[in-house]
Amino acid sequence: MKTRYKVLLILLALAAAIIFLISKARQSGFREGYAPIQPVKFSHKIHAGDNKMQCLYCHFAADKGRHAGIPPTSLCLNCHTKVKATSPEILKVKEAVSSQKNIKWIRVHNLPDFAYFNHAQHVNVGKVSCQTCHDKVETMEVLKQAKPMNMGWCIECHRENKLAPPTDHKRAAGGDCARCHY
Amino acid sequence: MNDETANNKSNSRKLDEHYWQDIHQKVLDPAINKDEFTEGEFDSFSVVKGRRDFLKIMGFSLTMLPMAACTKGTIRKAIPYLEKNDKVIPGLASWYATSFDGVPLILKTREGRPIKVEGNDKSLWSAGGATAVSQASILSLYDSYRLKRPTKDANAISWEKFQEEFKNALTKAKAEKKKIVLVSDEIRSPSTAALIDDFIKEFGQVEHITYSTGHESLLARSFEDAIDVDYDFTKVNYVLGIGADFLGADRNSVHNSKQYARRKDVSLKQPAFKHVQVESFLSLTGSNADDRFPLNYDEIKLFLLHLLARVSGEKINAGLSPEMEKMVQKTAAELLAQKEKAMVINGLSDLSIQKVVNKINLSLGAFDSGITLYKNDYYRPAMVDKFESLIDSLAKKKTDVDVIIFVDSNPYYHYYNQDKLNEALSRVPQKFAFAFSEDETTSQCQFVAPMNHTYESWNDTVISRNEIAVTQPVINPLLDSKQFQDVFLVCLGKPEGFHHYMKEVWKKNFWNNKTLHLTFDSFWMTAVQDGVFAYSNGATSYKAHVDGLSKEIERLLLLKDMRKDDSLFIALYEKTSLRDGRFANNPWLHELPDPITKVTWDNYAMISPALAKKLSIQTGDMIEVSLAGKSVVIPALVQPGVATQTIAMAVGYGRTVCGKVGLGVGRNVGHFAQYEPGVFQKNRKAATISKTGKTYQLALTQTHHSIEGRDIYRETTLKEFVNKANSGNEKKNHLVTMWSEQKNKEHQWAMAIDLNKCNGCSACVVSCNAENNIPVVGREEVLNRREMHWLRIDRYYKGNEENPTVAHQPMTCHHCENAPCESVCPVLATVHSSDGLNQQVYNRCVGTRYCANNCPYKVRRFNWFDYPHNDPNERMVLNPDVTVRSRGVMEKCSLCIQRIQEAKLTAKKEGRELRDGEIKLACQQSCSSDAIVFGDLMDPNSKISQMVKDPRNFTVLEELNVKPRLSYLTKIRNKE
Repeated sequence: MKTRYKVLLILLALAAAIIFLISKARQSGFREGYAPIQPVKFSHKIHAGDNKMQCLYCHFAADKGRHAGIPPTSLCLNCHTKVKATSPEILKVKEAVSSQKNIKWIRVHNLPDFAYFNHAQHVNVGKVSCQTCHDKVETMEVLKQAKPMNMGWCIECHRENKLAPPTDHKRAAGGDCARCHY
Repeated sequence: MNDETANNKSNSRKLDEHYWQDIHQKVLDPAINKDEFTEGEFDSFSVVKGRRDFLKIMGFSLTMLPMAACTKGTIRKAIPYLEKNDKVIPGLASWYATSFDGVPLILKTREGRPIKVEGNDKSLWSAGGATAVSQASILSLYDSYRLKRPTKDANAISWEKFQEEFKNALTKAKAEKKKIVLVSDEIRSPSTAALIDDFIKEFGQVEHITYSTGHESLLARSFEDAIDVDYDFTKVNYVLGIGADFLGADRNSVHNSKQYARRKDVSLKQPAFKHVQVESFLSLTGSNADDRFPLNYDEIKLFLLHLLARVSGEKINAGLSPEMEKMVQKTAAELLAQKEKAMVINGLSDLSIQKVVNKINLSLGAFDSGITLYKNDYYRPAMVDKFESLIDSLAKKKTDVDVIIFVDSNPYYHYYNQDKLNEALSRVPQKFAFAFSEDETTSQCQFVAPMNHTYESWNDTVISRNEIAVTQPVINPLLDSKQFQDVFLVCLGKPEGFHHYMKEVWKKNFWNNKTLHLTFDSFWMTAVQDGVFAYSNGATSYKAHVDGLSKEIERLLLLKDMRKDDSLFIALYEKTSLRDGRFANNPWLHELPDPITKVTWDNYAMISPALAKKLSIQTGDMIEVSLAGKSVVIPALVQPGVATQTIAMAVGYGRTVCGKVGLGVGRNVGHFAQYEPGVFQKNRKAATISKTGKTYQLALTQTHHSIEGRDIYRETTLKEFVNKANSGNEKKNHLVTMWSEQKNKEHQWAMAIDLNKCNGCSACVVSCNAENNIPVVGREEVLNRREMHWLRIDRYYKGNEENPTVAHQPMTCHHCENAPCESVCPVLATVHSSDGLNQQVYNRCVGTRYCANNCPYKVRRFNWFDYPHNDPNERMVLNPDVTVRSRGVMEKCSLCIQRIQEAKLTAKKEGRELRDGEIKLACQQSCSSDAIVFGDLMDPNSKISQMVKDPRNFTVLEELNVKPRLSYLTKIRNKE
């Protein structure tokens, strides 16, 4: 085989591999800036920003369990039977509750299956504020993934907090693989 | 250094003679299996044969890579609850008490679906233990071959329609004064028993026949009453088992294992305990005995009669061979030395034998110490006689039965004479079956109703003389099924359902201690919440009596002179996994290696090495076993410890109507059984073997785990142990290392296994399967040595192959401090954590398998395929906290890191330190024998630290200096 074919073959292989890796990486969650259009035009700015609602009012499990908890649809109606009760977006919510056909939100923050993340561990034990990872949600009209949420980004924070004295079993952030991968 | 290597070599040669593994190696053909790596997992299979092939594959790969990449990033949906249930917090498990098969359990549910079974330590009877079967029951819940809707002539009908047809059939039979027969399994449930009584009262002509092929009811039958039994091993020093599998397949196995292990605990101050087993093939229980006599069925009878003569003074006119004379003499002397501190447990399905055993126990005084009989009003023992006479009279057209109802009963599979059964039952015009999944009986019934799984039902079970287990539903019925009690209640005009009915029964029968609970509701809630209810004044104890035994002795003596007779015996038995075949569609149980033979996915005929030599049969030869016109073609397995003239075969296989998993696995041998008054006799005489010339490969997991003469298992005798605490464990290696010591951190995890307690029951293996999402690979892949179990139990033999001593050794990742796997991984996918765990990082692994090659314990498992979890039902059993591994990734025991993390988090949330014993690994939790201990080495007072310091502690292959974190305590046998 002539040299230029060999070079061409290697270049092709490289290109193919790069395309493959990038697309795989995108699939597994590296979607900084991802801000899909949701079925209901919900604004975090109005709720958490303008009206200063507590995050935990809707995301009820963030300090208790692994998942922050997506607010149950009927929870919206705690206020919205009175507030803006006739807005077309609220009607969608009411319809969902009355017809028992739930709204299918589009998940914004996706972690790959092989990474374990626990909200309670960070919110409750580590006293990390929601904004540290989700950025200023209270200013977002449309929710977007503001931080890279890749391993390097996690590790950076863990390295900074690893210095906490080991006796203070509340704060020490682990650095071992099997803290997140199992 | 050189001296030491030489020393090791000579040592290993010596040990080679000591322990042996493969029967062919020992007896039949030493040339086979000489090489440790003859074949198996690492076979090369290359498709690339030259430059042209290479270029073809390269070109193909090049085009496929971008193609594969052209997928759209997946859009994942997030669906909230419509309305929030305050009790469900996403990501946090809720635990509910329930029970399965008479074992009190707690069920872990995540977001409403049960995913893991654990033993309930509130129960005094089971004390937190669980069986392999109860561990695997969770998978049956999600079985997609469950019956989905009621059917009439195999066409789907609605429940209303079924209910109507059912009630019409019953009322019509009642009006016309025709007979109704209800066939069910044994019943130990107060509420169900009451319901059936009500049912009989309402429809008058109902005959309730409890039907089971097991031997559980034999004791009840021998006293002709609903007598149940509790064994208390803590009150005796000597147990003689007569073919009894009381640690394995028996109903009480959890309780028995718990106490058995406690009696063997040498750290407690208690009198020495000895277990002697007389049996015709090597059972799990027999493998744990201190002394064991493999005898053929006739010899066991003779043995028992002579024992009776010596213990109770009956006269026996039959001779004994000198060897047996010695056995009887020794056993009788030991029994009489212990008197009421000894007990005899029978497991042979013969009424006369049971009566003889009763008499021996009575003479010893065992009924006042180790064995407690009690009258269980809620017990409906199997009435084999009734069933037999029903079939007989139907076949002879002597009775007319209008309606027959099968409830969770499968005689079309179990019954020994299918032709007769078919003929008899064809005379019954209306047949109803309540069943969990499609089986041989549902296929013969006009009306079939799908039953709830236990975890979707209410029920209760008397588990001992002072404890009742409550079964509560943990999930709504997944399919359109009902529990049969609800259907019966509708016919009785009580549509409130069984939950309500059960409460009524409990209010009437058990709510008597009103001081503790002022209202019934608080009493009921406590019972349901605890899962067990202690009722001390419920059952009345029963005084054992044995009438004259002359008839029994005469019957048992109807045997020919043993010494001349060389006819063969068939012994049928139930495996600890599949039992009578009802769990045949559970792949976890099929893939669980048999605790003794280590065969998966099959049944087989076990024959002794002597018989194999005589008939020149090898393991894997297809043989035809025949007896009285019946026969089966079945692979042979040469099994040490089987009596010389016995062929032992497991029932429960060869299902013909079953889900996809169990269909056609193994062969049905149930037809060799025979009706005898009170029982289906499973031991038959005068069988013949003929070779077919064909061979069949049994999926064994044992051959590639050969011991190769290494110092792996250490044991001693009780006598030596009393004199010297580290006897059998003297060997120490002088080790030098180039690795630095593990630095002290917050925690250093370690595990230890007490070999003296482990009985090899394998509940831990299934528990590990469930906890860690371990895939089932199937028979073919087990044959390719690609089974995926993270935890296996190695079984070794020692000594004479006709009656070897057996060693069980659980083997899993040792989490070596100087882990050899870590130093060969090119991508750092396996690394050490600061708390001493050997971590396997799936997303880094590229699948070189170097680590598995370099692992001295062979505990790493490679995903040769994506084992799909496509089945939408089966997927629900997955543990969401553990990654489902994909193809090309290595995996192994993680010491349940998810449990460690969870416990650490709980402690952190509560702002406290971890407590010793707070973290329980999946295997440890399900161990009925409490043989597995896990904990933190940094805590000097922890149980694990004590165990590591114990003079009995040793590590496997210590000379490699890998410093395993998994250590063992020596086995201590109570024998000379």
